[in-house]
Amino acid sequence: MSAYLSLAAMLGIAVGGVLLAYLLHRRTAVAPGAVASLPFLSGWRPEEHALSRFEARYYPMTLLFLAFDVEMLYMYPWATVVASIGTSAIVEMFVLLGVLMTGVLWAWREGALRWT
Amino acid sequence: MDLRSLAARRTAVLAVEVPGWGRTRCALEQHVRTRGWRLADSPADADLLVVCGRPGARLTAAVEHVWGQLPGPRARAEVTTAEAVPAALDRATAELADGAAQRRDADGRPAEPDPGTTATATGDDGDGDGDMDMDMDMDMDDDSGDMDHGDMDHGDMDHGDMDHGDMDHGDMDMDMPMPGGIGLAGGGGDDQLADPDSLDLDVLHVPLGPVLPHWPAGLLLHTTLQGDLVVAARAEVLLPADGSPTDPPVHGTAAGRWDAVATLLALAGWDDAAVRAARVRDELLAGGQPPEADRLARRITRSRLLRWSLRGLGRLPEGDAHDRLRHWLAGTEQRRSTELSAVADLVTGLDLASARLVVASLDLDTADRVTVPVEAGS
Amino acid sequence: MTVTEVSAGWVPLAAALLLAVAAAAASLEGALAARSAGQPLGSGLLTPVAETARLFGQRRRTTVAADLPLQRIGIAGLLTAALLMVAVVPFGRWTVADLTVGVVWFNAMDVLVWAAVWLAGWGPNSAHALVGGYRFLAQALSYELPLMFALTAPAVAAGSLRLGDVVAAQSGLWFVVWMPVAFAVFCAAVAGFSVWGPLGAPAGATTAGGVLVEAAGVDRWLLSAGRYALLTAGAAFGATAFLGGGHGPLLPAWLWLLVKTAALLAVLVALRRRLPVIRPEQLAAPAWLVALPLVLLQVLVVSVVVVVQA
Repeated sequence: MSAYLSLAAMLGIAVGGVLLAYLLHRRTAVAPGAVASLPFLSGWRPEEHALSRFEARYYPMTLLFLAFDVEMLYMYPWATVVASIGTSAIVEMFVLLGVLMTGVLWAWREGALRWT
Repeated sequence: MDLRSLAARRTAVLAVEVPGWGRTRCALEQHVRTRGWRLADSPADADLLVVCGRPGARLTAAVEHVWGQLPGPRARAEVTTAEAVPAALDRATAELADGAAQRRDADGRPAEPDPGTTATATGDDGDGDGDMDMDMDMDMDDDSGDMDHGDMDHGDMDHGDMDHGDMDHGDMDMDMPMPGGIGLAGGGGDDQLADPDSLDLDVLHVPLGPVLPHWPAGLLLHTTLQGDLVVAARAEVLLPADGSPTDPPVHGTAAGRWDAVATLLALAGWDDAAVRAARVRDELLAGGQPPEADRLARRITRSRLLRWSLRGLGRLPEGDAHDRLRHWLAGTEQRRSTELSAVADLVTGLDLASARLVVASLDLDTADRVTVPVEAGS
Repeated sequence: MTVTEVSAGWVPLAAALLLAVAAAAASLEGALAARSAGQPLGSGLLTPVAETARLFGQRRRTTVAADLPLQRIGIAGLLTAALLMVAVVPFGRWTVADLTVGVVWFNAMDVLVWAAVWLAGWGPNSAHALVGGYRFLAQALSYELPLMFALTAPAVAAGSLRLGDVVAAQSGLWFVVWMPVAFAVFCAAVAGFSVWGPLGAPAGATTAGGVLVEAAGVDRWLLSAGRYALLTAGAAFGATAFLGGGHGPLLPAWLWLLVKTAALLAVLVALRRRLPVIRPEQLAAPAWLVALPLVLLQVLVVSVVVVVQA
């Protein structure tokens, strides 16, 4: 439990340190407030706000990633018991990984890893 | 050592080159380097804004807008000759170190950002009139390649329907929230690519240049981005004011080739080789014969990662970006004129980062001639 | 060697140590950059101090209609993730947080960086920053899975997710000796989540500084310090999970860890001078089709060895 106390303390230090940096900066900077500016567009005024429905053309890759990412949930507990369970643990896990890797190959053939 | 003099050791300089003043910009970069300073990536990163040359009206407007984006402490300088650079930098250093003046400058800045003008707003200083060829680096001995497009539109610079430059939005759709007087992004109409998933995606109009590090002097590339993909582009060159540079041009010389190498490598993210290439360039400009040039050229040519990342980019009949880089390094490049429309065509369909690399790989000489904008659709 | 947990009172010291080593990395980078520029090596050593003085004297900037809360989370996120990462790394015989799932914790913190970098890109309402943020996600999708599997290799060999056990399992042979692929992939991924060197595209010159484009003053300082801190935390974890942690002759365990961390960090810093940036779209195919199968094979080899030994 004390481990999580330390982590909470570290989080406190991080957040406190960032706040402290901002406070210190208010004193040291040439002026405490921020300069209001338009975003940098090579010297021009933007025609529209940049925050928009952005096309992430690599999104098929995100689905592929999710499949593997869920698999990682099994991987961590598995890592601690490989030695005690033995061969069957290896076989079962790598059959699953093999299936996923086949999925990667299929997705690659379908062009999921190319987006330009 | 107090804070301010410590900070001065890392002064970041945003350089703006006016077409024709490449020699001045090279001198600026050299002095920035030997002072232990560095070049800034953007106005937010910069302490010092240095304009090399005499900008025309639209270029001046862009520079003024960027000046308002420097956070401060800030200083600016305009230099027109290579010899004037050290004195200008000394003056700017003194200005940056003057705490009281900097605080006054900070207090005097408006709470609202400088509105600026959009890149598509019509300039009235006649930029864009004239002849439409420009020098682009080509690397084969084939000089006959005729890239002249007969169907270009010469006279009409008036994009009346694209003029959002003024702050008057009484005639716009008032249902649309317009924070800061800027509209929300929307679909791109004709420019938008067909989306197989029928997602309603937005496009952004992102002008590249003229105030942009590692970018051809005065070039303004209007891009329409869908995501980070350039779906349409149009290029023009912003003119200098009257009067021409006294320093000789850098383009077309050995130093100019190394300048192109340094620019391309800086964009490719290989800072070490880029800085060393700039040092070779500066020694050549000073009339020396840098002994390390051959070794550096071999090192750059041999880099597999660089070849892999440039291979296939900006493919022209004569070769791709990496081929052109090799010709610069070997000194075997040939130049011939081409049109801005060709540049716009080349970057259409690329992502923003690749488009930047392609433009750098062309080593455009915008000082050579003036051009009219030409549409390149998706 | 057993690792004992010390009280939370030592946490500030751990944080200070991370920042000190990160500053040393920035010094080294400054010195190497000075050498590239033809200046004396020593003139660049003060770079982190000078840059800190510069950025603390500089005003902050806000852009019109910026998503300020999200932007702030992104800016503070890098440094926070690095500090939380390093909290589970044993410093020789001592650790401030002896988590039974230390490896998973490190993994979770590096995923936090995804959000932080993307938010730093999204927040300022600026086209270049936005593109930079999305490029980071594309890059992260490529390096993250190989990283996750690289992290399981030491865990399988130690039979535990606790970093103290991982160190103890290396008393005879460092894991790097028989897990070179996992180590190499891990180092590449550290560069990835630190937006560093060949994997620095999201903050690259092609997007005018990408996620950094609008940041000034303390905002830029926090982002830069966060990147160096992440690089340092990654090096400390790598030294622990692959380079034997505190194991070594003569010197005390904490000094060994420091030496190994510094050495790995120096290699990562020096790498930046030798390599150009890889475009994220080019990274995808080799990461998924070469690095991922290789690191899976590595885990297979490690599991087989573990089972045979047991």
